Amino acid sequence: MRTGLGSRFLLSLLMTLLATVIILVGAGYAVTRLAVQQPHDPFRTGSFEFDLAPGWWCELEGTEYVCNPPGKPPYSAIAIMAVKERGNDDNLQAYEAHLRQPQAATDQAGDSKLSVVSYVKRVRLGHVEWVEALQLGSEIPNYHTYYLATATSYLGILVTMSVHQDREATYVQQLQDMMSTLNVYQH
Amino acid sequence: MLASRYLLVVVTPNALAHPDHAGDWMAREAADFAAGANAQNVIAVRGAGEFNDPLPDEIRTRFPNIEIVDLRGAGRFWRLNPTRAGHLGSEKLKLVAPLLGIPFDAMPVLRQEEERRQQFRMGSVLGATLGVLISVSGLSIFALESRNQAVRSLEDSMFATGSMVLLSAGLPTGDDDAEARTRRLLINQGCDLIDKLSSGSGRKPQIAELVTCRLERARSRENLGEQEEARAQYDEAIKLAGERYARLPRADAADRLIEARQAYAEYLARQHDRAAEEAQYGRLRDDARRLAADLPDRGELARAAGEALGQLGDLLRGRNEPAQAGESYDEAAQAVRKEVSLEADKASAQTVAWLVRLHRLAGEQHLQLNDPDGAADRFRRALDARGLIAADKPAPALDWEAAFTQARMFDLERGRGNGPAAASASAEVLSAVARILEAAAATPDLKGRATQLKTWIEQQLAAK
Repeated sequence: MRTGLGSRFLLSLLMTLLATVIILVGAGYAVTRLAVQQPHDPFRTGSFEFDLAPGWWCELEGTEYVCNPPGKPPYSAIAIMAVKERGNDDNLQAYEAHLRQPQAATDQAGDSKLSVVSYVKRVRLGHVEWVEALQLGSEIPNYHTYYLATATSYLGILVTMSVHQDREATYVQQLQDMMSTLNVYQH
Repeated sequence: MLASRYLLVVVTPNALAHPDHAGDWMAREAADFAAGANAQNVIAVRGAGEFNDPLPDEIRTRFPNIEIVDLRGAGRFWRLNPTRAGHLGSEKLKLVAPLLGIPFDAMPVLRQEEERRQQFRMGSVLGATLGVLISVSGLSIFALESRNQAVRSLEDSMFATGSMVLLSAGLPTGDDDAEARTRRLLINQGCDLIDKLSSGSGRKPQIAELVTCRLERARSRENLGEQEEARAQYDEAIKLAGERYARLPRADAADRLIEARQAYAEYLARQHDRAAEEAQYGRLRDDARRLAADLPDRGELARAAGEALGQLGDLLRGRNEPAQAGESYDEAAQAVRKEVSLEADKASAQTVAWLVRLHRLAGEQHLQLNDPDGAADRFRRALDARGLIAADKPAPALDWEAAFTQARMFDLERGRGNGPAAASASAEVLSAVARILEAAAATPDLKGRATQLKTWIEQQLAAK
């Protein structure tokens, strides 16, 4: 004798359904939490953005954005971004030529010293070509300064990142990580 | 075999149809077992074929009411088919119960228990299947909804930014550097944001802001002396508008295509690249005509065709090719006349003044070709066009064009010795000049030119 669908059928159906949903949703949530990283805090301007390293913060000082690492001043690293409307000298060739020149920096004793140009090269970050350079002692004595410069159709963008030579191990990677996420909006 | 409690006979069509009488072995074994102590314990199992296929003779004769256990379909994956699993489970019960010595009256209970087991199994399978389905669907719906919301937000932002760009582009460039700079920054920053939002959402912005941004960037490049990049921006603006119109043949895309071509041609004129300028105006003329065929009610397209043809006429005139220039001006006048017809009451005095000028320029080319009749005909068309705007309506620029055309007519008729026509023309010139000099809206420059024209006419009349 064959009976219709009974309570055992419904009970097993509901229990299995519930268990499957809980397990799959739980597993999916866990995998998502593990696989998808919390996004970094972005720093945005009207024409470009990048992800800030943990604890870094930026503020607008006059016409420049100044970014500092966590902690109290004096800082061992600093990033400064200058954005200006382009003039005739704001192009990659001019930036590259300028960055190939050693810069004079004055120390606390008032002595002026020329910086050492470590390298100047073109790099592509996202869809934009930049001029990248490293100079030793160009902005502040004992600081290594990384430069990134590019130009859009109407803006010139110069990013200056200075790190004290004794703290390079701490900050250079952070600066490089931040700059690798530099995204100029204009396509 | 005689010591066995049960004899299981598995029946398949091949077992019965064995060509070398192997079926005899089956009959002999059945006969031998029937002679033993457990003679009644014979169970027939149908392994394949039809359920009602004949049993071996020996079995059918000795056990006419034998119960047949149906195990057909017990293949490798029978458990995966709930219906088949239920049926085979029930049939197996018939087989296993006697072997385990379960009394016949306990069979219904056993069947019910098997039924429950089957239900549990079916419920579990169905529940797991539904669970997977619900979980995957639920998570997919959640992900898709979240994505749609994000895209919608980006599109809203893109729309807002696009509106800002279009509004800023509509602002007058102004004489003040600060105003012009603010306008430029608003547009360029808005355009950069549109690029960012577009790449983030994977959606294309509206064609109006796309083209406006390309044209604005082209102007920036031009001002910086980066002419190659400027041309690339103009080309891209034209390409984008053309592609958008091909995909969605709507008026906004058509207008933007015309705007981009016009801007490019004007840029080439500023660069003094006459050959490229002429080619671009030619393309503008062709595009305007092609689009007007699709969208015949749009005065803007007729106007664009008139503009292109007028500019081509100017270029040809500059190269001293009066025949081609005259033809181009004639066609330009036709296009502008069409625009005036489409705009009906909304046609401006400025547009009509342009129409008068095009007819007059066409007439001047005919004069240069020593075709006074052709010239007079075009001057008359120009003066007829003046009538499209009521004479009592203040329109100093239009009056100036009419006065200048009448002066040309005066000169022509006087040269042909047609005194009355020349007198009539000179009177019309003086009348139009008087209206210009009285008009409050007339600029000092226009009034100055009108005065000079009046002096010239008076001198000509005095010399006669």
